[in-house]
Amino acid sequence: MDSAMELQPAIGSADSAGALRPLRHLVRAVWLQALRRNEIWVVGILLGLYVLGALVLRIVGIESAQTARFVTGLGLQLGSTLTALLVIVMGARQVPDEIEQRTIYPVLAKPVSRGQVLLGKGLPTWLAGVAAMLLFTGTTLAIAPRLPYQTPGPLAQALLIKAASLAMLTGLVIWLSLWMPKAVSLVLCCALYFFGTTSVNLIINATGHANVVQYLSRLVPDFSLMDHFQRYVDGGGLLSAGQAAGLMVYGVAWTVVFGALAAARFRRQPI
Amino acid sequence: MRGKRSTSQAQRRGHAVFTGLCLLAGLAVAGALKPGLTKAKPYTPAFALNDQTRRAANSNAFAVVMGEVRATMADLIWVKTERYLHRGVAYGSHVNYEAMARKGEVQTNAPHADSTHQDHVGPPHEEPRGHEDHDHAEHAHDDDEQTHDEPDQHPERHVHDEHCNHGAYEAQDGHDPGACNHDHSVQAPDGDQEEGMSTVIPEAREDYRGFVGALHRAVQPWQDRDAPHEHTSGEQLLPWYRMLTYSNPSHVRGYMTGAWWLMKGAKNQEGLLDEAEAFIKEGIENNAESFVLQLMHGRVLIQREAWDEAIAACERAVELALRVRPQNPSPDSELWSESDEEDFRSALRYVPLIQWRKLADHDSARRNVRRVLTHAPNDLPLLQMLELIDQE
Amino acid sequence: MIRRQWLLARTIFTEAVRRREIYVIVLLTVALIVAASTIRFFQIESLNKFYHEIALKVMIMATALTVIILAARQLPREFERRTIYTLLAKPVARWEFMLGKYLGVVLAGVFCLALFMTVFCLGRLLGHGSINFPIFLQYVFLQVLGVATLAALAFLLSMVMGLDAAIVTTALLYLLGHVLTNALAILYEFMGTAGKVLLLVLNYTIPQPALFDLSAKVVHDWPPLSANVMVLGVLYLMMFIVPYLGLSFFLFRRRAL
Repeated sequence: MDSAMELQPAIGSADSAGALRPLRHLVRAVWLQALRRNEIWVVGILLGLYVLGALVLRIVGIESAQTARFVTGLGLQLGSTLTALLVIVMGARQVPDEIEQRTIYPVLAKPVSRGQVLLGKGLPTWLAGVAAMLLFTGTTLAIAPRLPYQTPGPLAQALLIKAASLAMLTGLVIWLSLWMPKAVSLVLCCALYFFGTTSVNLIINATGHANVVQYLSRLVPDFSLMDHFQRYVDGGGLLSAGQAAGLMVYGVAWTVVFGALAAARFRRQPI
Repeated sequence: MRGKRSTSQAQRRGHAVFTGLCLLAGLAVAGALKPGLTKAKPYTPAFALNDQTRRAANSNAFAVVMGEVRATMADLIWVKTERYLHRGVAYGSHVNYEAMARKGEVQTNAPHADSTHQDHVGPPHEEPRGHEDHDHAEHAHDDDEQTHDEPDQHPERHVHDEHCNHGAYEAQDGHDPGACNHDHSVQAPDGDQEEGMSTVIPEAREDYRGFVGALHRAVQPWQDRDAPHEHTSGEQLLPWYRMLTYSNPSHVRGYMTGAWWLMKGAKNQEGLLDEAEAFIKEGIENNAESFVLQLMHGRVLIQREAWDEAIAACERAVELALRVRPQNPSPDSELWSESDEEDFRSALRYVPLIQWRKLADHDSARRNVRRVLTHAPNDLPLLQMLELIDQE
Repeated sequence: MIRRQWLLARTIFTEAVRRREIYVIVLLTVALIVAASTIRFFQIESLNKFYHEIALKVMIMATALTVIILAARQLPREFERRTIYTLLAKPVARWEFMLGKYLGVVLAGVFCLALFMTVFCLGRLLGHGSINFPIFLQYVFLQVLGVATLAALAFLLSMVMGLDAAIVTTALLYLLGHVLTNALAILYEFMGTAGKVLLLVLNYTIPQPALFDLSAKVVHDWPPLSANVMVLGVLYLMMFIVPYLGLSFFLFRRRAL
């Protein structure tokens, strides 16, 4: 059963059914989709990496606080990267696969708007990403000893901001997948996510910090702003409430932008 | 029928307006927020992020197993530096990055290398042979041509500053600061001083892997630990430092080390000193509170022989340093390392040194030495400088 | 008989080459490399090491991932789409079918690699960069065999696990190959007897990309390898290609239609 189809009754009858019903359908849809596409096993394989890392650590030992810091940093960064990849890979094929396999027709034949279909694709992708991130983070914390300056506050902030960043990424990848072949949207998303900031800085520098370029650069989503795991690892302290809220709003704003672009594109897309 | 069509058209128009509004509002909010959020990125770690801590993090057994897999670009540069300087051969960590960032020298941490140069430890006027490797000219160390070319004629002119690893705190404690432990002479820019360093790929006699190990040693850059090895030019690392500072503009050490390599290259290629200055200025723009970058700017200006600007930069460095320097700095301090103290003292020494040696303004120099001695009362180079100025 | 395999291989190759993805990936990769090579780093000329490292890493990674995805989906898709019935209804033995598919994937990988290497050489020569050709050609040759090894591994894993799992596992083995080699080399002294035996077994049963990746030597301008080492390299890779393909065939033959 396709996830979007699973979601439709929930979304359509949200007003009449209990408040928990849409959530139940959503969770079920995510679970079914993950099982059907073996994504759950992929997460399992990726978790295997952590198990191997833990085994190696058990063998060589953690001889100093700096080693512990290294392990925590690497584990969290690896989790962050893998989660982003998971969201990109999942998101890039949500709609194109439905169109390619023609399973989109029965979905669109139901009394459901195209915007809702997109939401039904984006939400599970984002939720799966968030779940994977929590899993990887939890595993890292279980493997590496916690240092006195690594407090829960900055970690919680980093996780929340990362969740907002994953929402941005989900919106971006779904929008791009409506425009271009799967592989291309996948590669472009990876390029933007991993090298976007460096490339923008490079262009700004190459153009001699021209004002126009600096202003234009603000219109490129900056994913590096949303990664604060290293702050937790190095004991950098809490972000101020204003900064944390600003980052969350930044994530939401870009998600809205990509969502609007994707909805506009999908509404006009001939299927 | 017409009514239905007009309803659907209105609906479509409504969708378009709503989408447009979402788009504009989202872009406006994101665009407006970005500059402020960029400032949320830098943070002060809860420990001194110096060479020691970086080495401890990047050279433990687990890190060696991980190869070039690192969490941050800065740590990746650490690995790259080791490999680029040794033609790709993966040795156990031994380059002294602290010295590289602060002095532009490829020094090693190899203990045996230190021991081979024990004879260089001596009184300040004993300039070790082969000291020209040190390339003082580019540091404006005040070891001008006279001092280098004719070391015996003016031995007393060797005024120590950041190149002499006196141990800033020792001087303060009243230990024998006169013993100039020229550990920078253990640098191996032209090689063959570091035999015995262990490689990451094991040697045949220690490798259980048989022909797989032999293939590993043949396919990857590797050489016997007893073979003399060479340090190649660090210029090839410059793009990595450039990428590092693009990805993390608050990485002060990236700016410092990059600027050093550029200053070094400026001897052979015109225009690189401009590049070094532009690079360090960019660093200052991104890290306005960093005193070491101001000091580095001062060094670039000294190499340019722009004395007044150099004095201004060094004074700014002192001013910034005094904002963060603890009242009673100690080697155990978590946030003020020994190298910070050394840099601070270099900044203190540069101003009177330039006034004395380059501008021949003895009065200002004397006045300034006395002034800065209030921040470092037992600083031997400053005391020596005062003595020498008075003698003249 | 060879003609039938060749026909199959050609079909797979043509299908891969006709798909837009391969060109898009090549174009994007080339664009990335061209962009990197146009960056002026402080007016310094001849920064060969950086360009070589970036270009070779990106190109070989793009080739490897293309081959892994292509190889992993060959057999499962035939079953999933049920096109295997049509094919096996023809006078083609299963081993011929599998070998044909394998050769097609390898050909597509070599095509991709050839495109990249041509662009790389042209870029370096037009940009007045230098290439140490003897070691570079050895690098390309070992990479071709590496592509064949990865394809064989992806074939095998796609028969053992699902498509996604096979892609992820092969990609991880490839991307973290250097870590695996380091671990196998370093951990031995920390292990007990059982651990040592395990490491020995892993050492000979899992292909290690670090043992056929000469890119570091190309980047740092080392002299070429001796003929003996090259022969050893070829034998090492054949040590995986042959049994992996054999096992894949075994599993393919036993798989219920």
